[in-house]
Amino acid sequence: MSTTTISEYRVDPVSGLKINRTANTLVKWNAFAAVVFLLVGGLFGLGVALTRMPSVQLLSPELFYMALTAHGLVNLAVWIIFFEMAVLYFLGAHVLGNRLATPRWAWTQFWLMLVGAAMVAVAVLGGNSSVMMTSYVPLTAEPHFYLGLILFAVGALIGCFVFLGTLVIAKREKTYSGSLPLVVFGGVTATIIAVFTIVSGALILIPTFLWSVGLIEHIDPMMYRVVWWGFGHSSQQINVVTHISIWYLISSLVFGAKPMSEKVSRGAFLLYILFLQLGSAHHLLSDPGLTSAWKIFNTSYMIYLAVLASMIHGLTVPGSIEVAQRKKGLDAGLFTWLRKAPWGNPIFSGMFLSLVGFGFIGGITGVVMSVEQINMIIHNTMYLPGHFHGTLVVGTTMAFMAVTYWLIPVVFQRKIALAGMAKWQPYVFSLGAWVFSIALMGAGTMGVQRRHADITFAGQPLAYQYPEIAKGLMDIGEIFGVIMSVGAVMFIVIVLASIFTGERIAEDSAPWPKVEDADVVFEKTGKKHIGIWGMEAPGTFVLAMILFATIILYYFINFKYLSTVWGMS
Amino acid sequence: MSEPISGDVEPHAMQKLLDNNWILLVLGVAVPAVFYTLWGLWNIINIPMAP
Repeated sequence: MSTTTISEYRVDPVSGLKINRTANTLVKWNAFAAVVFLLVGGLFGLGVALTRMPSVQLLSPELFYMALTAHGLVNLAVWIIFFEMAVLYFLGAHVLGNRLATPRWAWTQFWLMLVGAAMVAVAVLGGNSSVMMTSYVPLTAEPHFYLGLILFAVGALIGCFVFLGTLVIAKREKTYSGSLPLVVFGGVTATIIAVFTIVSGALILIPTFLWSVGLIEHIDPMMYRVVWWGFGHSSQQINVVTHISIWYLISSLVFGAKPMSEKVSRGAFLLYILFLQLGSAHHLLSDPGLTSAWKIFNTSYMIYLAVLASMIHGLTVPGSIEVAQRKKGLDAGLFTWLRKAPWGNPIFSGMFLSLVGFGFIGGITGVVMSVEQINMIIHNTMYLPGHFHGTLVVGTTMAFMAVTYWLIPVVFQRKIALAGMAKWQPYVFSLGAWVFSIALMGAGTMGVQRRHADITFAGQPLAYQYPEIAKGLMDIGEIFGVIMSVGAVMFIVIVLASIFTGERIAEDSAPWPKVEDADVVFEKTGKKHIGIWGMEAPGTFVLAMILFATIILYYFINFKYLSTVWGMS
Repeated sequence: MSEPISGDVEPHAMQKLLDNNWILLVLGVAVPAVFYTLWGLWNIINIPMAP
């Protein structure tokens, strides 16, 4: 009997990375689970969208709250955190040419998260746990709802420490020298925020579980909100850091670009580590028990340091692309580098749409709504779902989709199937998500409250009549919500078709052509300078100025509006 | 992928900090735990009881 020994590693012909097979299996399963949950959560989201459309109102109130709870938990937590586990294992093992620390614990992570998600799903679909993602006490869910969340969080925490352990192995076995590559450092930043997030979740969900089974008599609702938002909002900051790391990765992959200043980019990640989680306070700006000093310190001082970090990333990523493009010969004018970018490549188009949309839609509105006074206009309105779809869908989900088009050949060893559809998918998804977010924020500014099945209040004793334009905005928003869903379905179809029917890439196939390093190309040209006006990236500078002007304009428009809703005479 | 920063010279103190994942982990948990969580809970604990 002959035996064949399969090497623990393979050299990937697509990326040139040294891929550990065990780690790769875990990357595959986490990524696959993520995409399946994206489908499940997206279907619930579609139900929510078609109910909130005043002219459709698809679901009964009972089903609406069940669907909203499921949509929030699955799309805000399950899809994204499974994908993040795949990204962390990819960064720690594949990018560093390393093996994974304790694969058994990594499998424990996977199964705990899967079982936890299943328990939550059973509780929510059972109909007695429609408590929304926030599950504010004294609303009570089934005990296995909380237990499922705890198991899911513990699984994710294990994944974080597997990643950190993997970095220890890489350092000890010298699979890299000097500092960690920037994109892996971004993974470290996301992991640190994840640890704070998950510990906060455990601190509040464990007593809430004990309360649900009768072992604890009372949980203070105000304390619950403080600790829960340390979990609920910070979990979304993990996403922000991960998708920014993906922007850096893609700018390097597609353009051979390098960060404009790696030290500055690392400094920006440090600002995230120290201050990003403090943004959780902006959910509590209307809470009476918390002092103005606490609110203002956390939202209007410290969070601006995190905003500064976002500005740095938002400048340096497109700036590095511009510099690379100019070094490769696209040095004429202000925006030739952008006009001649590969807009038909979904890896680039998805990443750039994520970057611009996150900055102009999710980012600006997040900064403005963190101002205590302005927050009074929009607190608990549709503005909030509009804002966080602008960060999590427009920014994070689009970036995750974009990098998936690169990961499928590398991780699953399959070519992308339905390439023509893949070319259009980022545009369809982003068109839907952008207009959806903006329209909902418009309706929220007019006072339309969130978490309500029927904004017409039909048959209600305490009805309120919103302006007709608010109903129109809700209709427009939800129509584009359906377009966003079409974009998501296109993505899922492409991923599944690629994984199961895509052309296989043999391990011993010829290496794929590499994108040339922009610096190497520039050296060959013999030129000394690029750019205009003494700047290497003038186009990015102009784009950054447009963003600044938009922030200032939007900020003052909101204060002007605030002055009209608070009549003093 | 970006190039790792390396060299023969002694790294700057800030670079040493950025290269130490465990100190970063402690800072990343301690700063929000103090300024957000503990301070917030202290606010609530100190709300006077209604007479």
